[in-house]
Amino acid sequence: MNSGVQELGGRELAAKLAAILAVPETLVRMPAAECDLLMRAARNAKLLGTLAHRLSEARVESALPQVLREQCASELALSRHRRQMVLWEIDRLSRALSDVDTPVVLLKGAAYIVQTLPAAAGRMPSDVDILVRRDRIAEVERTLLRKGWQTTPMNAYDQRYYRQWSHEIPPLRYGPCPLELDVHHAIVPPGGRARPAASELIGSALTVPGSPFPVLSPEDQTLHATLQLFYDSDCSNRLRDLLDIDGLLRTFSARPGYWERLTQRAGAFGAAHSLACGLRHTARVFGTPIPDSVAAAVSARGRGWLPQSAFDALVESAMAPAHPDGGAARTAVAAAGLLRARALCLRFPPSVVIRHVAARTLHAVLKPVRPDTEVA
Amino acid sequence: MSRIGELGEAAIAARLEGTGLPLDFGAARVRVFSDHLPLAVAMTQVYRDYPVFEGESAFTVTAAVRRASGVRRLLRAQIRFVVDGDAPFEPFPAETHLPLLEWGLNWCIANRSHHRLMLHAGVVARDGLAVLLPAYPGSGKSTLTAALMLSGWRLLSDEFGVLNPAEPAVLHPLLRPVALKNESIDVIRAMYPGAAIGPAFPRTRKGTVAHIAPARACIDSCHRGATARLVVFPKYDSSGGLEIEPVAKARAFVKLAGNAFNYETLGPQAFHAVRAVVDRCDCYQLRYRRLDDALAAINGFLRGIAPASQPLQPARAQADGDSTAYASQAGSSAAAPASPTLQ
Repeated sequence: MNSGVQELGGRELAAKLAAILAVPETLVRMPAAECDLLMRAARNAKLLGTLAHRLSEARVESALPQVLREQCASELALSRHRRQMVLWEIDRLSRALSDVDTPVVLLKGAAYIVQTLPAAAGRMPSDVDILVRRDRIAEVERTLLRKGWQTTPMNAYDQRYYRQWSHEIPPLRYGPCPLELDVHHAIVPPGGRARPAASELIGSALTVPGSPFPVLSPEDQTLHATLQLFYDSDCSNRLRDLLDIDGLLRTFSARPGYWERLTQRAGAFGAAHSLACGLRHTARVFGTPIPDSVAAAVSARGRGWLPQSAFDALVESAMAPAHPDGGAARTAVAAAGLLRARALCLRFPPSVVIRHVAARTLHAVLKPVRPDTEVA
Repeated sequence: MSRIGELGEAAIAARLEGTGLPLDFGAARVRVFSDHLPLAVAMTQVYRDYPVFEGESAFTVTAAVRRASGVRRLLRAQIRFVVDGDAPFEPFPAETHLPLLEWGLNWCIANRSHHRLMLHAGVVARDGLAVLLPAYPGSGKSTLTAALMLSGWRLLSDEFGVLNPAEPAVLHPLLRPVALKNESIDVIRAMYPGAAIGPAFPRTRKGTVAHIAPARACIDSCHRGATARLVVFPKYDSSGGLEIEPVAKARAFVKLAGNAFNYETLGPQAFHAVRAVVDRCDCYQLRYRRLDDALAAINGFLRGIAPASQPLQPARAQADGDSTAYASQAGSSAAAPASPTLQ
């Protein structure tokens, strides 16, 4: 442990990552040891592909030490492949679902890819997410199973949890395709305060040239990203998700009327608090330009039951990447735990929370000791 | 520059606990940390001729093997493979430290090398010409690769055939200790009594595993490639004799591409690279019972290919002087024990 950068805390790491993502030139001017550490932190935060893309756009990756330059090239190749796999899965889906007469909407990474959003560049999608109407999801699932998709192995508890409490069915997979297919009937789990109606989301979905499926409207894509991060997650090591929000805001804010529709929609969906968090944290970390009037209007509407300063401190702590040499800080683990508890309490009555936590803990303790993976 | 074996266990343990132990494999450079002393002892043996270089601060992989904390530690001592702040695998029993490190490093290297086509094959070279030994279950690839190295061939890798798709004629070394399994450990020990074999690790997922330290000359030439010339699909068969059959190029293509680590990831680039390899290589299937027979056959294949008479495309500067490397390696009998059975 041989350099000053070793002492960086999670928040400093997050700030440094944000700085090199914003101005990639700064990375190549750093000493090699610091470059190496920050690229490892970027990998830990699932941001190395994005960083590699930005270094390449800025035409500065040739100034990196050779092994780091090679890792950038490797990540870009992998990202290109994943993009190709996503497009392939979309193509297969369009054939498989051609005779199911119901709208299918692409969500998240797959939607960013078909729209060729800047946020998709260098991103490493691991699944394809689609949204269908709840009353048609059984038919969609049956059709996919008949046409070669398979359910991933899962214990009975998790199966039941998905069916009863989740906004998606258990993940599917097509043959050797490395990506999972998540079929949703809503963009957030049922039961909580945020209730974006799937029918409205699907109703305002937009077609994309060249894509067999439509995508959510710009404001709904933004709300989906903020809800997922601040309503339905523990924020643990989720800098990448925050960067997605930054990318969506920067791209879509160029469209006339975007901010008005965004704030109006957030109010209608009970998503004002998540949006307020999204705007605050992405502005803090990535300096996302947000009009003052929008920030003020959203933050007045989006009050949570936790004091804002306390909630923000938890988010900031949980969201930071783990230190490459030390793993996640204890404070980050604790903060993520509290945020996880919050996410559960937002949705479930206490009895369900207790049962769920107990089942998961038991499962973790009883997990087999030996790895299932083969030793090469 | 001092070598790991010369520094000794105590110094290596201190490096593993302190600033990390750097290792240069050629196509990848790694840095290892550990607080588990038995790993230092084993590494001092199987990495004995790797130089300890100073002043490098960028690596393909920085990984640690750490003693695990947690409740289950009370029942059984465990270790974890930690990379960039994550522990991607379940803990291993503490006594299988070197297999965990080797497997974890291979996993990381394979996942971080999509700038290269990574064939799954042993690679050895002689006179600047490389022989690929693709890995299939039961092929005896590692045993054969080890025997070739111990009888004077230059080992490039026992696991990865590394190609730059822009220049697919050249195989690049990714030189790691050769992992032997089960019976092959005794076979190699009997045939090459001087071989530097590290401790045996019983009861791993693949049975007993032991590692051979690569010869010094191979380590010192781990940045020099070799030109692809021969693809041999070995097949160990305890019942038969020696059988050699040419393999049609189309079939060789499918077999090479089919078990590459990242053929799909590289797409068309991988297609053209594998085609270039198959185009310029003679391809054989080699069914063997006795290791001696297989070695003699592979020597024979390459002897039948006179390097000067074959209009090989120039493999750039990287392949030049490989015959010197081989000559110097053959001269250094301490590093590469000569095979009594072959010579």
